Amino acid sequence: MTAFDSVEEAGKALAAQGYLTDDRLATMVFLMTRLEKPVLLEGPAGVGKTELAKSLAAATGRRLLRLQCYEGQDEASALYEWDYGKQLLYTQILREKIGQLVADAPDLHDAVDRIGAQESVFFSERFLAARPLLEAVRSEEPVVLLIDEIDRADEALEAVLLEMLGEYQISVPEIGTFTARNRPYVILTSNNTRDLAAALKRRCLHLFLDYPSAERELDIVRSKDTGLPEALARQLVEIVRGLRELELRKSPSISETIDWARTLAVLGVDELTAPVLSDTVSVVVKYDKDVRKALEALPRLVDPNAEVPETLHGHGHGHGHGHSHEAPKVSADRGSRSFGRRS
Amino acid sequence: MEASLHRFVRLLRLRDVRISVPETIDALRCAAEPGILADRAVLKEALRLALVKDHRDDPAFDEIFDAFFALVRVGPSEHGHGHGHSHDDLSDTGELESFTLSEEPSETPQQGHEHGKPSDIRDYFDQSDLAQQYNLHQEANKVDLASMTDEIVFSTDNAVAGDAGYRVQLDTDRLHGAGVPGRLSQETGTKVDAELSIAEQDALLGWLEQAADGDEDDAAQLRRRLAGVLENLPEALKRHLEALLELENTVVETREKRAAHVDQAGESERAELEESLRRLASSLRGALTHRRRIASAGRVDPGRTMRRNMRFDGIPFSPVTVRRAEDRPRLVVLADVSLSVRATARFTLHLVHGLQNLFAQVRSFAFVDDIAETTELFAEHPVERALGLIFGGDVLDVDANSNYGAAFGEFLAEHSSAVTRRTTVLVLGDGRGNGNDPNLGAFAEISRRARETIWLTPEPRYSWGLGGCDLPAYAEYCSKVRVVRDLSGLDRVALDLVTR
Repeated sequence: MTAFDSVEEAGKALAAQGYLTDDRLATMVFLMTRLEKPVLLEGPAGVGKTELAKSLAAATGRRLLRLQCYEGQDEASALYEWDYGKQLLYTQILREKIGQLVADAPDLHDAVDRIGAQESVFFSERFLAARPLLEAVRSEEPVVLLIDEIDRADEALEAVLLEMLGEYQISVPEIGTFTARNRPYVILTSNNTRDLAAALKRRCLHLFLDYPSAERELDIVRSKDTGLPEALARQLVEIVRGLRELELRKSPSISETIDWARTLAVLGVDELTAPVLSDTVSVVVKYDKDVRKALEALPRLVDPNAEVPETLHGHGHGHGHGHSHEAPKVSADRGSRSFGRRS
Repeated sequence: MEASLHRFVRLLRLRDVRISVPETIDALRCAAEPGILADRAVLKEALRLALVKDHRDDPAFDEIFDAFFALVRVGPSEHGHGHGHSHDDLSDTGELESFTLSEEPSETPQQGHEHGKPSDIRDYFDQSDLAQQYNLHQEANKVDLASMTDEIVFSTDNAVAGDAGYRVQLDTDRLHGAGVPGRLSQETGTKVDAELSIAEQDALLGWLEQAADGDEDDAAQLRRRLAGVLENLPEALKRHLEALLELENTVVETREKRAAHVDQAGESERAELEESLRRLASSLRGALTHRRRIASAGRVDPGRTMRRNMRFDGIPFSPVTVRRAEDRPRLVVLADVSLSVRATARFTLHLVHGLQNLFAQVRSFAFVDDIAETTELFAEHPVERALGLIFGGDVLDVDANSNYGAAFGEFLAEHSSAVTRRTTVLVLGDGRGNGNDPNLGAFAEISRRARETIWLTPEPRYSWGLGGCDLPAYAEYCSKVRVVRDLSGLDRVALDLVTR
């Protein structure tokens, strides 16, 4: 399967792999497969950038190649390297043959020339240790190439990528240029920790992937079969969205929402109350300071209005707008009590 | 479709969105894919994918897409095309605190003869004009700065019926958030060629009406005077809109050209700033560490080479080269944002913002007599917003007198851990401490802790001696002092530092 025929088809194909898209994402996938252009996905951690590449590979039946970028990475680990060991080994094994070759050489100069004539044997694709980029270009079958967290790599690596992204080719000085037989679908992801070069951005379609809408996030939680009842899942999604608005050091991601839903399902929770959430909040909040902030906010997120009887929640009154100054005394106490128990 | 996409791209460029030619071609290819043109929402996303490469450009894209593809050109979306009905040059970012309306409309403005807009505020105080007790520039007779009070006069020779001239007098005792001296306002609203006096009056009336705490009587008086105008308002507006629609094609073109010119200058300036900063960045070095790190270029490390090539019988097939690593430069920027350097403070802070984007480790501080860390501010907000917060007084009192000694002392007390032997300290300011104790001890201490101290001052060397400038004393402790007041100066300094 190659390109999709329409935007809807792209969306459906991904949905079949368990990846739910919105209009924007489906359009992106459609265009990417049609135009065969690389795509740069930027956005906070945990919104499904890497997951998209995996799902796309599954949906199109392509092999997934992944280049994980890191600080101080050199191009050898991204492009290719000469396998000196193998070369040496072959030289050892073929010593006899080489001996025959130069046996009847009149002088040293001639012998060197003869070996020189065979040089290409040792600098051929055989001794090339391909790394993900070269692999993607040389691959017989079509692939999806994921270049993950490009913002972590040094700028030098970005420059190395330009040739690949623009023309789908890689030049090896000793051999020549490899051009892709099948153009790979290239997905670059970035957590936006630094600005990428304009040249890189120009070669890509660009999408800023943010946290999904409540509806889509709920769909995603539902599709993951967490075992959490529908009403609770809906409420949980609202609570997580509320937490995201607290300006935590690390906002809870979608995958953490799912983890939380699973956790609550395993615990057999049948009502979301502040104590239960406080006990399990460490599933989604990963910093000490954030935990304190979250614990303070949770009672209000569970129940924005303390006067309303407990049975009325779950309508997704949402996102902690403003700070309700008449913060419910009761729930606040409850929150701090459970905090005390934890520590 | 091609033509309209080009037009769309051009509009985006007017809004400072950087779009290159290949991206435009991408957009065309995107739009040409089956099914894309059928749905407006899909088209929008497709174009966004191809054209917008920066998250902060999204709002501009949204706005222009909606305006452009809805083909609504009249009304609020006009502003999206880079022209508005703002009052000529009188847009003022400061808040209106109080005003009084005078009984008498100004008589002084005469039949205008065109001089062009004064390019400098000094022109408003032209000696010959003042000598005649006369209004400044006849053409720009909206502002009457020649009189004893700061009055703004709307001239009588507008097409207002009867004696309906009116005058607004603004009284403030402290002009806050004023722009750079030499420029009255940052924004120069574009004047629309059509007759706009009615709309102007309308806007003015709305403005007066909004200011609810104004004097009741004055407002009533004004309204009475304008009664005749108000009756004709609907008709006049209709005429105006018709004229506007008629003009639309020609006017939009010329306006766009004019706006494009201004914006391009801004764009190239920004690119130039980036370029200069990169050069400056490459000249700032961190300290050498004692660790030797493997690098692709450098000296061969015999030990490591032997070890790596053990499996080849010690034949050095793959030599290991090492290099003494240089730490990334860490930068601490101290920027004076007081009034005395206001002319360059904006530029200075642009500089700080740029530096912060460029270096991994920058901590920036702004000071007047207090000192406040602005690192997070610049990291979280786009530069315009951050500048607004700083000059708006949200961070520190920018209207105070600068006190370098106190600022350095406080910096040392509160933030001295920011400066280590790996840090380069960059001070931006003119060194005028207004006679306060320069606190050389504190500065010497900062300088001693830092690897290098660079001072960039907006004032040329000859004027240091004037008006109590402590810079000569501070210069003793700096490794470099350079005069930088604008881009070209920065460029020179960057080049100078690199070549040394």
